[in-house]
Amino acid sequence: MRQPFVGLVLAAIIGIVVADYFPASTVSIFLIVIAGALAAWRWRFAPLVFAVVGATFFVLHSARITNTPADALAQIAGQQPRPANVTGIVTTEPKIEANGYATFLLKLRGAKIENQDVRTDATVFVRWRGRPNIGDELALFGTFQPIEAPRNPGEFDMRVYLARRDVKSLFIVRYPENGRILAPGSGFSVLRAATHSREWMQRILSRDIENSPDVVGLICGTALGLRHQTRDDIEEPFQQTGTLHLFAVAGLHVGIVARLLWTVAMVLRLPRKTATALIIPLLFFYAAITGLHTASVRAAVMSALLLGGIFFDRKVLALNSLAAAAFLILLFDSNQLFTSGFQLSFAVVGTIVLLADPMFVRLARIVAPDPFIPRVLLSRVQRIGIGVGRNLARGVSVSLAAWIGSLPLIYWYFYLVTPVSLVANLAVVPIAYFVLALAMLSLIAAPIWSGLSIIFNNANWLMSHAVLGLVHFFALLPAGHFYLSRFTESHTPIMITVLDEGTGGAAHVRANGYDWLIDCGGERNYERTLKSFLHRRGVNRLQGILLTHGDAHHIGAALETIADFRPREIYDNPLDARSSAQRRFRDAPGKPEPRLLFRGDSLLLGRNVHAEILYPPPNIKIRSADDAPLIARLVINEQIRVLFESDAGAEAEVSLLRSGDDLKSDILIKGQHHSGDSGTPEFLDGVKPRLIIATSRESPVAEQITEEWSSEIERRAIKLLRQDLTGAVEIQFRGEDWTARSYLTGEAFRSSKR
Amino acid sequence: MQIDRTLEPLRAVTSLFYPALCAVCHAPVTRGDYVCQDCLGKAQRIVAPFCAKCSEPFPGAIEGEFTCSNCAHRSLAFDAAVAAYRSRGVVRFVILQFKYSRQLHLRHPVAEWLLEAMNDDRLRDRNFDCVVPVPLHPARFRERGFNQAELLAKILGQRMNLTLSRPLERTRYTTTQTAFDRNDRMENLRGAFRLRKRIGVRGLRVLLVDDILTTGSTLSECARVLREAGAQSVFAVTAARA
Repeated sequence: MRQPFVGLVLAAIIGIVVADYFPASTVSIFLIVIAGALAAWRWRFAPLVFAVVGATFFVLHSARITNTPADALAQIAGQQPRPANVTGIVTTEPKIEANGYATFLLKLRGAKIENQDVRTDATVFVRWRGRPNIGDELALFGTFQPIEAPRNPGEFDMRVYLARRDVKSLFIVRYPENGRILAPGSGFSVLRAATHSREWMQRILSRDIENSPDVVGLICGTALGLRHQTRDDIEEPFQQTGTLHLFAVAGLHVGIVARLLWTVAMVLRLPRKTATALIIPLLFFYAAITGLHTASVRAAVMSALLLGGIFFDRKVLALNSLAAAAFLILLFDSNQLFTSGFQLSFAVVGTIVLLADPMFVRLARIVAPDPFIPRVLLSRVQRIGIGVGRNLARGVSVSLAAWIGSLPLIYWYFYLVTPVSLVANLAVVPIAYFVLALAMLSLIAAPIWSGLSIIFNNANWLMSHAVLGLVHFFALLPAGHFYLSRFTESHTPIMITVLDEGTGGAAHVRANGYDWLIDCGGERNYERTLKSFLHRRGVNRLQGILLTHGDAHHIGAALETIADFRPREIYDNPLDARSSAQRRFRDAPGKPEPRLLFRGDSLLLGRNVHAEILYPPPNIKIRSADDAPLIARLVINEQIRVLFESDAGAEAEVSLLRSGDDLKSDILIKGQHHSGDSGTPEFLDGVKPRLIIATSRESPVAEQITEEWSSEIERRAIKLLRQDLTGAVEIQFRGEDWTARSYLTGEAFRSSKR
Repeated sequence: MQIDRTLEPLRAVTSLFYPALCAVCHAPVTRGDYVCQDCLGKAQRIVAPFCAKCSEPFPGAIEGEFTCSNCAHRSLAFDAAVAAYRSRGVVRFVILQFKYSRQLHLRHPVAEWLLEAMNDDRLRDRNFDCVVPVPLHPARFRERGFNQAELLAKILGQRMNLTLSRPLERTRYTTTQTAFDRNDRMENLRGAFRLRKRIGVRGLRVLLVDDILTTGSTLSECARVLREAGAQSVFAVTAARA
């Protein structure tokens, strides 16, 4: 075998994937594996060795995902929220959310669910407004809840993500005083030492530049991988330019640190083997400081193997080392195979190893001088030119290889294609190298002379600004990056997606190539829900947006949406609702001025899709925003009518009925009036919908669909999709037919016109 | 023997991480080998007739010992420079990989070729007091990170049971020799080496070591400095010869 680990890791991956679909961990399989292993040892038959490795990982992964502690706990805790007292150890770095909650994983030591003692060592996901540290022992009182699946397309699937870490229950502590720290970080552990030294480093690195949080975020993110403290909006342009790897402490960082350490060791004239013996543990400590992410562990293992080659006096095969790192990580935690971090890290480095050198050879030929001219005859300028050219060729080939490796995965997970990343990386990575080097210099200087460390910090401030400026510049380039929906999802050219925004609302209308929004939901949900959804649909720019009324849950995210998706047309409700959300929107400077819509207006959304505005008429007095939302009716393919009622109440409904318009519609999409009084029988008589999609929430009580109302709907033989049960609803239109499908349950309702 | 057996599984694991492959053709080789037998077989050995002074081989049938016209025209300061292989094909590839691509482990096969040269008639029965590597300029050393001649001399010293001595230092950073002809090379190198203080070679029989001999200028200049310092004899050995 030329690269033994390549075969071994492939066998391991096959074993894990099979186990993931058909887990089986019986004694007989276990015995077969042992027998196979003995046979392989005895006869040294290579295919048998691979089979044994594959089977071993099959058994390992099966055992890891069946009947786990988390499964047992989820079984006991059940589907309903249940109060409980728990004690346990914090196992991840707590991430502080904007609303003050700390979220972290807690490995339980014991639990008391409704006065019943439960023996468990499962890990749960905790939300608590306390400030614990990793390694702390906590006592908490709160409620167990199952982790919810995403309610809208594109939303991050927390349930799947946590299940891969064997976490299947949520534990919510409502009040800060319902939890206390029993023992801060019991005993010495490398992890805790790493956390401590990281805190120290963070203090040093941010000294004297505290007033530039962006820069501190970048430096600490780059040098220490402190991602849980950088805001998402700082990271976004990095993602769009394919340079987010600067934040995720990864191969690049470990590689740079290893190189810097090696340089230091050589300057100190340490023997090579001594240097190796010192640097390898330091690299692993660095990986621990930066949070033991897959990528940094991979890089530390690879660097260790690279340096280990000096000990064993053998050539280091890059691909084999990469495969060995994957093998060791999977052996430690086979679930890693299914995480995007693992896949990205190994795919990118794999393509660099395989493609960068051949590409470099081709590129170097372009910049190479005439081979028949002896080097001594070249002028100094020519020689410098050749040197620069070669380095550029090296950078381009690595950048191109990395891009090829990451392209499919970034597209699959983030619906994002980033052609600009080729150029962006060439410009940014060298500067990032200096950012990291300056950070290290600052750390080294700090104990000796803090003034020098501050000078380094200020130099780094300049470097970081250059990085941020470049990244923002590249992110703004047209066609530098774009979102693209997955090729596996086929959609009709005309479709409507009614998002589940709780009591609020947002709907996306795709009209033959033009994307529209009717409301955009609340500000707090924007990143998680609307933005992710639009990205998933491959929307880069909106044609237009309609804001129905001044409810924070309907138009709270308007400014963010307009900034990110630059709609060409903005339409607003003409009435002054005196709501803070409306005022925030109307007073915001620098945005395009919205046009006001009244009853009787009509819009062309796209070919065969019209919107008629039915409400409000001019000169109407209102008490609250809900009384007079924009009510629009879409006419699709000249036959299908979809009525967007928004949060209109009985008053608006009566007014619509009196107007004498033909309200008849196939689909009624409605919110809830704050009084709870909407969807009156008279109105339903007028509209005669075949399908109603309605929001419903337990609180406030008025905005929940009542038994009475839903049985009334049933009596009228109208199909009701209530969004507390269905999540988002997608309606696809094909000619005169349409199909509505619930995102959560997959339940479909077809128009099937006879 | 017992220890060997207990270490066997460990070695097997090690060879998974660092599989033993031929440096030239990447075919699997036995542990401890660096170049496969097929590739080794392609190495071009220097066979008689060759110049007694610089080992330059000549075609044709020349009986007995002779000195080539090149050596006759100039005064080479060493007694003889011996190489077993021509620096062509496999040999050249391996040495360049070793020297310029940081493949330090390849010092072992290169040292093997060096040791073969020690079997030559001119060196076989001779006694030496010390092995001296051709020095590298400090700037070049920093750039490269190692001195290939010293790594080879170390192995040679261990195998031949000779002490390693570093009496020479390079004082001038000479540009690469490749573009110069024979006379230029000599001229270029004059005064490039000097004796380090406190290390004497008076009355010693010195074995000078380098990786490749091209015209012999470097080795000759080193030998000249050593002779002037009182060395009794200076023989040079290299892994290959251009």
